[in-house]
Amino acid sequence: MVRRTSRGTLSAILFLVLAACLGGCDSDGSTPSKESTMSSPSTVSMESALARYDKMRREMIEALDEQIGQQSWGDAPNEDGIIRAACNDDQLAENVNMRTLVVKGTYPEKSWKRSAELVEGVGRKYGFDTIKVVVDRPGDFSMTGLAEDGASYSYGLRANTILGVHTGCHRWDTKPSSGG
Amino acid sequence: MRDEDGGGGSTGSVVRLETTQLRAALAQLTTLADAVDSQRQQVTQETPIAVPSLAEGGPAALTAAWLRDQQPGLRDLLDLAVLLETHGGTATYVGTGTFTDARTRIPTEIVNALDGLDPDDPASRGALASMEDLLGRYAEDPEIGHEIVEELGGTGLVHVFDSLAVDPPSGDASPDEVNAWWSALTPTQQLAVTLLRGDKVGNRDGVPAWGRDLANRAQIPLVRKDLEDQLADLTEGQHGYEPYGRGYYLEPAEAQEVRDRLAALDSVDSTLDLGGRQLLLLDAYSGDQVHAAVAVGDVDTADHVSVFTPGFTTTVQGSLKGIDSDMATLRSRAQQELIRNGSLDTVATVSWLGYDAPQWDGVVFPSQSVASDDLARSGGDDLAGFYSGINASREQDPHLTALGHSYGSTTTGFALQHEGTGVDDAIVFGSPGLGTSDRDDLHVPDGHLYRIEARRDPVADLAQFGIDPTWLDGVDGLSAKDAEIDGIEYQESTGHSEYLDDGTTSQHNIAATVAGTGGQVHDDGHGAGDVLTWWPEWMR
Repeated sequence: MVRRTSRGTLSAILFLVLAACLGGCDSDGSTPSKESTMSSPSTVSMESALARYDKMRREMIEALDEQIGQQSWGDAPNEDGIIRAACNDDQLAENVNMRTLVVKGTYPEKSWKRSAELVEGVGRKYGFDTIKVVVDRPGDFSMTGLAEDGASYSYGLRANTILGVHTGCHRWDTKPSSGG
Repeated sequence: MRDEDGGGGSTGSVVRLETTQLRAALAQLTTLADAVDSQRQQVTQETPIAVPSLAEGGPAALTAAWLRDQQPGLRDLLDLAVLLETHGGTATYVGTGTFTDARTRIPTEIVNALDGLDPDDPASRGALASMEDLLGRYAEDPEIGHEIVEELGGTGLVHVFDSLAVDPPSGDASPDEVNAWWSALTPTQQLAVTLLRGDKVGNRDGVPAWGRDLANRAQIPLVRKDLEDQLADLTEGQHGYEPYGRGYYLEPAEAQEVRDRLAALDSVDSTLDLGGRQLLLLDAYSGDQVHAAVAVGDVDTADHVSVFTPGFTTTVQGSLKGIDSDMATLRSRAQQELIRNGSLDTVATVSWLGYDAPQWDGVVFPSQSVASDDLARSGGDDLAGFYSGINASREQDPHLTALGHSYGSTTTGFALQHEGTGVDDAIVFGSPGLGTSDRDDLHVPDGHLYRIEARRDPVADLAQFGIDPTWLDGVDGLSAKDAEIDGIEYQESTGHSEYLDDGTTSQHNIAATVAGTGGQVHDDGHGAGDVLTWWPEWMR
């Protein structure tokens, strides 16, 4: 049997309303506040943004190849292409999760920190100035670079190595069909 | 029968077709062609001297090829016999009896057979089901398929599908019972049901995701038309009453409700347009709000499926796009976790807006208020069925994770109080309570129920619906804090609404749990708010 706490309804309502507003409620009623999807869309087209991030990833891989060791990067086999998503502030803009790049296997663990610095250095050239280290423990490392426009990249090492990019909000010059 | 080919036409003599003989002839033709080919190859391999008549392109090979070439014509003749068959396996008609003659007659005879069917007559349904192989074969034959469609016309096709469609079991059937009904249908019947009984199967737990998706998508234009008609009725003649001056008329409140429902349909439509989605729930009528559930990925085949339930103020029209965007990114992160851990498993993430979440305008109404658990309780019943339906609709259960945020975590809590949902892992974040103060009420395996509470999230310390999950024994804490590296403290997610923000530890923990990879960052610490919500055991 479910037992309920005996709280004053009015105070609970006031507390919830306050909490919801503290949390970032907005006029359209959506609770989650999404920096990535709520930020103003860029004037750069999605095609240009994807090309730019593709170039950034190539530079990251080149830096890793040169300074840590050559690896064979390829598309993640458990993904089937880009994943598009909507942006709240602009009906015509979208954000995209690019297909993750993967290395089967990884670098020697002693070079992980250096590899993260190389990725971070290239990322900063492309505006990813905020770095969040999500996991850093023996045999397990994951970090994210964040840009002002809500874009992010993820770099992680464990059994395999991954490099993913999530764009900010951009409009397509030519919107893809529903298939992707 | 007459077996010479060439020439067609409707004139000729009475041709008698025996289906038994034709079936036997077709089988013998296949056997004979295989035998000629096999013997030719065997002799060629075993004979040291090249025999021209047995070589590729020689008389023997051509004979085998000719025999195979006769099979489609004989198949047409057999199909015509089946279509014309009256009794005892014999059919007669006036014609030439040639293969070409048979092929010319087939579209008309198929249309005649279909025209005679009565959708309400079980015998007709049986007859049509027995024709499925034949219909399937000619549907893929451009020449005959085109003729059939042309002769039937759109209405005729609907009539045919209507004959195949059968109603699902009653509303109180379990997801397993619904799936048993679905599985007993032929593929054509399943297609017919999704297209013509979409309102009855699109939201039925136990129907596979592809069927629900197809059925619900087919409903969108019908629901839109209905709502537009309702809106036209509600606003008709309103221009004559202008209490606020010329051009400003008072619109009935119901009209705004209909507009909101149409806006919800727009939101669903534009989310589906992004591609890679499945519409697993669409209900524009039964609640105060439109209900919908949209998956990113394929729920029928994904190894890992998560279902996210949002909370206070969320609606399909206002929130679906943002939540779907979160789920798209969560899916990417979970798949990245999998591949980082050496797995090629796939993930599908579902945004479940399948209940009337409390809204601002309901705050003053006890049963609709965010301070009441009524909406969470009834939503939890539906959510439990949705969870169960995922497992029931698949041959192999996926790893299923329940995610609930804020008031949605309370709804999730009530859902998890149902037995047999198939949920393997559950995470509640920013939770004001799970509708119980007893872990044993929640049917999630030990060690697989988690809570995340960010700093400065007062909702997570409300303990409005059962005790604060922080103090619930058997609920493990996952971190919302960032890591520290080389003495540098990185940003963390704080407040009530950043749990799914990209790059946060909380998002990582949710992704790792959805992926089933482990490797979450745990945090069993307590914040200042938790101290205030601690109650001694005997008071809980």
